[in-house]
Amino acid sequence: MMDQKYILKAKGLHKSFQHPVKVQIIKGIDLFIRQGEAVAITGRSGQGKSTLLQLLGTLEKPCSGLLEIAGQEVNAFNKATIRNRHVAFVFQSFHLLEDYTALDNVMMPARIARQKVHKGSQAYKRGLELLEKVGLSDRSHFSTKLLSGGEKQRVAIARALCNDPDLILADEPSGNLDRQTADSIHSLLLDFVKHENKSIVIVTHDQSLASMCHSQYILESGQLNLKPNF
Amino acid sequence: MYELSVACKYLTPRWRQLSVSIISLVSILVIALVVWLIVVFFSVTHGLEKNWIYKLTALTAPVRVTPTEAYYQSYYYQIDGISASSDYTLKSIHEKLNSQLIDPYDPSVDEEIPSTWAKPLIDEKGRSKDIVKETYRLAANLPNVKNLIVSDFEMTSGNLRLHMVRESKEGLQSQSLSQTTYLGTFDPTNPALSQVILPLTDADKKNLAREIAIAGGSIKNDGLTVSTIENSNGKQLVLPSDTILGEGILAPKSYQNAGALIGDRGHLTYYAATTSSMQEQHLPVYIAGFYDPGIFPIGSKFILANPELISLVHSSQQQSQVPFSSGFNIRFSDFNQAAEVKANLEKALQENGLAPYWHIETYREFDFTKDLIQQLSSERNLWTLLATVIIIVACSNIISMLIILVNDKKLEIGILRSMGASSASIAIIFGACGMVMGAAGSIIGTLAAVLTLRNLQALVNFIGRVQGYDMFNPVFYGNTLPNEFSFEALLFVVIMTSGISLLAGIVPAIKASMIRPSNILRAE
Repeated sequence: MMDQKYILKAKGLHKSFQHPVKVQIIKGIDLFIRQGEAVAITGRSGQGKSTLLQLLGTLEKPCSGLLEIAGQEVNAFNKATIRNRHVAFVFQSFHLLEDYTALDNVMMPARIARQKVHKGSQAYKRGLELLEKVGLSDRSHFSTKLLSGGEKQRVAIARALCNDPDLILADEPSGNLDRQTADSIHSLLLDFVKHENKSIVIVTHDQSLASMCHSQYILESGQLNLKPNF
Repeated sequence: MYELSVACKYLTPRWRQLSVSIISLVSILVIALVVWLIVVFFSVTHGLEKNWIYKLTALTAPVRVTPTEAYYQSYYYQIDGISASSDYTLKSIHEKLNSQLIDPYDPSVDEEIPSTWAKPLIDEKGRSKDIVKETYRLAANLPNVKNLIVSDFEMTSGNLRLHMVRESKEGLQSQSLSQTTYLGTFDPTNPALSQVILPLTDADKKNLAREIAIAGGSIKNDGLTVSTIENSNGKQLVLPSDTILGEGILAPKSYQNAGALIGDRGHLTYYAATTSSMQEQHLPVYIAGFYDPGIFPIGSKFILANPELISLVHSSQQQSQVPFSSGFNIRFSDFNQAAEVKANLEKALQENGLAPYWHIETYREFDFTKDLIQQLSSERNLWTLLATVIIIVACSNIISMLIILVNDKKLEIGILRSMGASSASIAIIFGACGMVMGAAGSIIGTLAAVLTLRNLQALVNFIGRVQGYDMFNPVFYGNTLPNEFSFEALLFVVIMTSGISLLAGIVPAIKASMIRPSNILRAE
């Protein structure tokens, strides 16, 4: 794994918020993630884990620092394309589009990438394959409102894999789920990393999930520290 | 384009977003209502304007050529007055056009030409130029004018005295109707005239039969009314005359409204100078038909008669003292060509040295139509301005609806942004929402307008019955309202609603594109 190329390079990332009072939440973080690497980020609530994840996923703009994803330096002009082609998010609250079916949700990144999504198209077939992979082939045409929490998260994972991203950023992916469902979600995500040779950054409080990753960092006082003896 | 499909999804009514659904529905309905109103209103007014102009030009022409003072002062015009071969009589345009002689002057017989007269107009071969015939030839050969017809006209005035015999309980009673009238040339080649002739009623037929019986003799009750015949020149109108009944005349609708009927006989009186005094002359005439002059200002007093009768009356007046009393009518099918026809004829006359003798006017410049057409044009501009304001008000609903929609869809905006949707795409989604609403309103409004226009007369009749009198005065608007769909009006509302809807969508679209996805996703 050590010989593999870096999917993500973050150098000296700083982030502070001005309102209501000035708070420096990320203080010069460096993070390098290789292809196929699973990284867990833990830490107490309010330490900036989600902010860091959003910085890494280009949803948030750092005050300073450099970010390179899949060999491309992130800037204002390419960040939307990078989010669409190289990065995918899995959120604690699933964040599915409620007016769409499970399959439509899965195909949405392909739609945004201007791919054809009609019946029989490549994106359509891939959407069905992914739903089958997450065990929801029988729910593909269900409205997402009718799905359980675990099913919603599976759809969210299938959606994250739609455009075959290099990096998945998961923010408490099992935070709203029961233990058994959470375990199946963890397996799904980590199996994907293993079999597809992709990278993942998981923000979690779940130590058992963190222990399944290749490396674990603790975010404390705006600094990212590699957990010893890991 | 996924943005449009997302926009349509957002606009689909849902219980979950009831307020947005209701506001969008109301916005679309208001736009539809405005589009309906504008298309119906402009279609009717456009049709009325077209009808009015059509009727105005039915009695005149889209372009008229009349002699100037230079013509009346010319050797060409004045020479007939001192020439024995012209009976020492000045000739009208009609007579000049049909004259065999260009220059009737014979120095051996006629008196000396006054030194103050202008010199005769000579062509390159040294011959006298025939100003009237040459002008007619130039006008009749104007290039690229569809259905071009050039004919001469004369206009004069006289007094019409009608004797109307009517049946009553006491038997036959005679009434008379006397009115000073304008007299114009009945032009059988004028295609517009056939469209304004009113149909023969049963009362007309009965009256004609009675007049024939009263007149006695061997009058055939056939071909005594104005009619259309088809000959080698195509369809032509015929205004009949009868040796006993007199010359047939075509009277305006106002005579019919005053109680006159086809077949009513009378006299046309005018004064002509004799060697000793002015004498009243009587010409027997009868009404051979009625026509609708529309809103032609002198239409209620404008009688049409055959050229021979008009020439006879006209010759009793000094032509140069009655401006625009004779000339050429230039008719063609596309009135929009009027300015172009005028310019081309002016150029042709200029090139042939005839420009000083003629005054050319389009129907928009006639003294008796200029004010009316300018008024119609001003009203059209005013209504266009009002329509624009109404569309802006209707489309402003879209802004408030889209702002609510943006607030409702904040999370979805964040989700789409996390999947790689650019801020431009988000702006397009909400801009498209505005456009779709504008387009939906336009389509509904247009369909409703088509339906209304198809049933316009029934609607007008219904409103007339409810209020107890005609909704539109037939004197001004005709017996039926025009119901031709105005594509010009449709184009106007479609462009306006699309443009304003797009503008209305811009503010919410920018607001949506400025939303920071991290804030939304973190808050949720």
